This record gives sequence, C-alpha cells and structure tokens, in this order.
Amino acid sequence: MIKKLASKTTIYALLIIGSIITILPFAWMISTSLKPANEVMMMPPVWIPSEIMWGNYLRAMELAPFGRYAINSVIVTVSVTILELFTTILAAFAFSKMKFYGRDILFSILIAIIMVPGEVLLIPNFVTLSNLGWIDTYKALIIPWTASVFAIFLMRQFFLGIPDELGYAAKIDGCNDFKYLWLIMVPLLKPAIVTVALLKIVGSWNAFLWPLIMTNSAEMRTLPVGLSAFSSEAGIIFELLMAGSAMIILPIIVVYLFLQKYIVQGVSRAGVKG
Amino acid sequence: MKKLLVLLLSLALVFSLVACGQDEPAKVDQPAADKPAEEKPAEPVGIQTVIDAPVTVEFWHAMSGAHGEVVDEMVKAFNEQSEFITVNATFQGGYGDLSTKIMAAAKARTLPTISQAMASWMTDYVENGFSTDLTPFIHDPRYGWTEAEYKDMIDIFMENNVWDGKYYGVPFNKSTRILYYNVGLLEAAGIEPPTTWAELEVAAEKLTKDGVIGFGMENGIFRTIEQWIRQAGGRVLNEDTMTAEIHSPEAVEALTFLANMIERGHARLAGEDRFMSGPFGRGEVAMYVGSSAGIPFVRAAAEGNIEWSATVLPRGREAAVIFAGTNVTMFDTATDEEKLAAWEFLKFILSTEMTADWAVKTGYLPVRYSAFELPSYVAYVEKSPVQGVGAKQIDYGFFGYKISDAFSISSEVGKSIEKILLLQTTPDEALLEAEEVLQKLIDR
Repeated sequence: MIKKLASKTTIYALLIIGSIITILPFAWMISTSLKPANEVMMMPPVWIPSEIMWGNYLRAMELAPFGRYAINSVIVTVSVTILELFTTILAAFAFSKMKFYGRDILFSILIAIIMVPGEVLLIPNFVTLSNLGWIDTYKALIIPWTASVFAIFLMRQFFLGIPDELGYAAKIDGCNDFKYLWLIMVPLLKPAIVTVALLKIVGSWNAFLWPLIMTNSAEMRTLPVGLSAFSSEAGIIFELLMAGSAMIILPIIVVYLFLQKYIVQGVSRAGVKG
Repeated sequence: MKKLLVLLLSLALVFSLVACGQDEPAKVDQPAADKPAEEKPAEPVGIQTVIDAPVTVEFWHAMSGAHGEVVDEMVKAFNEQSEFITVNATFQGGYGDLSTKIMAAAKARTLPTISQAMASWMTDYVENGFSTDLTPFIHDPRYGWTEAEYKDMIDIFMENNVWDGKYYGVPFNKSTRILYYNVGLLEAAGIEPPTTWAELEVAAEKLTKDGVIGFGMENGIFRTIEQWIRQAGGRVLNEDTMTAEIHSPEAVEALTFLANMIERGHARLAGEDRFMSGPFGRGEVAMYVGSSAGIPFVRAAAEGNIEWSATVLPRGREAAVIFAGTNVTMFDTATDEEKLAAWEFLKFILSTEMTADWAVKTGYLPVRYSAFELPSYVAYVEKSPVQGVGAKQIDYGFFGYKISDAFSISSEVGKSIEKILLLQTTPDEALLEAEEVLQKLIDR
C-alpha cells in the first residue's frame, strides 16, 4: 500500500515538474507581453509586471496588419491541411495496401527526397512559381504544400498496422479499393489522420520564410511574417514580440485542446514520435 | 532494382546540372541587352525619357515596425504630390530575408524597381549587371541634382555606392557607433566620459565594482574589431590589392588592449543578452560602444532604471568610427520610365527636408550636410543630444568593406577574433589565423 502510494507520488511529482518546464516559456511569454519596456530585461526577472500593459497588444496590432494576416493564415492552413490529408491518404494507401510494379523503388525515391534540405529548394521553387505567375497569390502559399513525403511515410506506417484480412473481408462483401479506403480504413485511422493533420496545421501556421519570399504585398502575408515587424538590426522589442506571439499561438492551443484525445491515441498506437 | 535506382538518381543529378548551366548565359545576356539603352542619351545630352502616363515603382525595404511606418509616410507624401508616379513600398523581412528574396527574384527576373541594399550585396549586383548606374541620373541637366545639391550629399555615404567610379545606389538609412554611458555611475566615480584609449582603460577599471562591469561591447565582433584596429592605425584588408592585413602590430595592440580589459574583468561582450542595451539599461554595464540605431532600445531599457547619455568614441592613435546601414539601388530590369520615376522618388526622399525628417523620426543620420543646419533638425538635437553624437564623427568615419559575401566572411574571421576575447589564445596567434582565413575567403 505504502509502496504504491510512494510510486504514485513519484510519478505525479515527475509529471508536475515536466508540465512546469513545458508551461514556463508560455507563462514567460504572457508575462513579458504585459510588461512596460523597462521591465523586460530586468534582473532578477520580474514575473508580475508593476503595471499591466494591455496597450502592448494594441501597439503590436498597429505595427502590422494582423487582421489581414490572420485571415490569410486561416485560409492557407485550412486549405493546405485538407488537401494534404487527401493526397497523403491516397498515397499512403497505395504504398501500403496496393501491389504494383516498382512500388518499393518509387517509395525509396520519395524517402530520399526527405533528405534534401528545404533551404536548397527555396530559390528554384521561387523561380518555378514565378514562371507560373503564382508569386503573391494564394496558389503559391497552398499548392506546393499539398503533398508531404514525411506525412505519406507516417501515414503508411499506420496503414501497415491494419491487417490485410480486413481488406479481403471487405472485398468479399463487395467493396472496391476506393470504398475500402474511405469507408473502412479512414474511420479506423482517425487518430492517425488527426496526428498528421495537426503536424501540418502547426507547420503551416508557423511557416515564416516561405510566405515571406513567395509574397510581395501585405495583403498576401501570414501571421508569422507580422512578427518580424518587432525586430531590427539594433534590437528587439520583446514586449511587443511576445504580445504578437501570444496572439498567434492561441488558436493552435485551442485546436490542440479539441483534438487532444486523438493525438494521444495516434501517438501511442503508432509508437511514432510526433 | 538497385541499378535502376542508381540510374534514376544519376539522371536526376544530370538534369539538375543542365538546369543550372542554362541559367548562366541568361544572366550574362541581360545587362548586355540593356547597355545600348543606357548609353543612348550620350548623343542628345541627358535623359530623353518623359513620364506622361502612370508608372508604378516597386520599392522593397527591410524597415520593420516604427521605421516601416516612417517609410510608408514618406511614400504617401511622394505619391500625393506626384501626378503619374505611384510608389509601392513593401517590407520584405530583415536584412537577411531581403537579401535572399532579391537573389531569388534576380534568378526569376522579377526584381522590383528599387530596393534597400547593403554595399556588400551590391558588389554582387554590380558584378552580375543587376544594378543600374545612377550616375547619368545624378548629373542629368533636366532630372539630376544641381552641382550644389550633389556636393551636399555626405561624402562617405556616397562613396559607399561607388563601383568603378560610378554610382550604383544612393545612401538611405545610416547609423554609426557611439559610446553610451551611465551618467550616475560616472558621476559617482568622479570621472568624465573617456576620450582616449588610456582614459577608457582607467574608466573601465574605476567603474568595475559592486557587480557593475565598466565597459561593454556588442556581439558580431568582426565589425567592431575593424574599428579598434583602425583606431590603432592598422587595417583589416588592403582593398586595392585584396590582401588581408589583419595580422599587424597595430591589430595585435588593439586586441591586446581589449583582451586585457576582459581578462581583468573590466569589460564584457553582450553574449547571451544579444544586445548590450539590456545589461546597460539594467545598470550592469557602465559604458558601452554600440550602434546609434540602438538609441530607442537603450531608452526603453533604461527608463526608470538609470540616467544615461552618449558621446563620441574614444580615440586611439587615430580617430575612427564605423558607419553602417543600407543604400537604395535600382535594378536594371526596370523600364526607362520606371527608372526615371524611381529616380524622382529617390530625389524626393533625399531632399534636405525629407532626410532631416527621416532622421528625426527614426534616429538614423541625415544623408545631407545641409540637413544638420535645418532648424527642425537643430531643435531635435537640442532636445535629444544623443542623436547629435553620430554626426560629429562623420569626418573620420569609414564603411565596412564592399567585398561580396562580407557577412559569411565576417562570421568566419570573427571566430578567430572571438578566441582572443574568450581568452583562449593570444592575439598574435589568433590574428595570424584570422589573416589566413580571411585571405582564403577573399581569394575564393
């Protein structure tokens, strides 16, 4: 009994320490975002600002058109996520459950693509998009991101975990491959899909360099680009940067809270680290 | 199976090489095709282009936040008074982002009409024929500056735009280094702000006590080091012969001076604080050498904590101070009308009133001598004397080298210099290493 209590206490203590470590940066962000400028760099650190500066949020909103940026971020993130899920599910199904000539070679080539660092591709991609006339449009922000090798790889792992017998049974009951995928596999793999979607949502929401390079006008920019308004070569306006960051992170936290159940399932079942 | 994979991968490699190869001639072609258009005005004297229809000028810049707001104000003022010309200014991220973006746009030939650019990037643009020679615009009888207007531009700022005797840009936002000091701490120690190295050394020692460090320096050490070496009478690089000269008795003297202060605990670098304005504002560092563009950050950090001021840099054997900031360059892909329209815009923002206004609102330096005498600027400096410090140093100012790739060179060479300041090696050894690294990078 005592032993059980002791082990429980240890587990809870460790979990609490873990959560504190995770939450600390967020708390610091919120605290900094509400500080007057002269308290930002104080030593020892000031946790509770002497005066709560809600004005930091207003000033941050003033320095960049965050409203417009937020609309763009939502449009881009939602489109990219939906389209990517579609292509990923189809590709992962093909690479795991269908048998065709050259499947494994094709898959190894895809995997090899992961090794190419994105920075190397930035300028060639820009040239391609520019020749297509897509620069400064939603197309440039969305279409290149609608397929991801990593997502296909991850999703394929989930698909491989489903026994082939299920497919045979479905076929006997009159399902073709397409129906089998959408009516049987997809509902089964909801946690996996949510995991892949969340990775995409976070990645797309936080993307900075791509939207900056591929757009020219403020009307097409996304939220992270707005954050660059607070730093310059001579210094960083931390209180405004943190106010901006807090506004940007909030929606992601909300999405996470709603999807938490699936994410935990997805990660634990597949044994793949997000 | 494996063979097929190898074949596919090598095919991919070949294709990518071919793709790169195709780019080259296109790049060289471009300026050659545009050249005749530029030389044409030589016969009927001056620029013949007339703007009688709407023209849009794309202007890319890296001025964030409050500085960006001032750019927008200037653009708005210009657009309102101009009949046909519309300038469209867009923020393209920090300097690094802007540079990446220009490179990408140059490859795709979607460059804007004009852009902010550092001199070191412009070396690349000039070599590859992207930048337009502005000399014909500057001296044009109809559209150019008068001789007096031309002479009124601050010399070192204009020199920063010269390649082969031609102007490929005009100065825009310029800052310099100044000595910030904590008024309270200096008064308590009974010392005046130091004006020479010897005084600086003594002051740093006297001010170092009770957890306060006497003297501070910003990170990004290569830039700062150049300034100290010049003050000692040496130089980092002979730009005429392109030979590294950083391993000289003068440089050893400068680095020994700094390393000694650090070793005794009288000086420190910004380090983890990233910018010295933080520790200075908290009162942990009594004096520091930093950019004049940092004044608003010092003001914010110091408010309610310390009383501070700033003055000119202390001098060594010689007085020397580095100036930094960007120019505006014009790209050759623009049409003649766009170029002329852009020039009209540049003339507008570089007028005495506008450059003074820009300086007052941003803290950068005006680019015209006459701006210093403008009543509005005089009043501003009286009210905020620290803003006037930079201008006092113009006569002995210098700019960083225009060598392309200056950024990666300075971070590479900076590593050797850092070893000295981290007291890992002697100045003599590290400077010898730095000279070798620097020479190798220049020759590359």
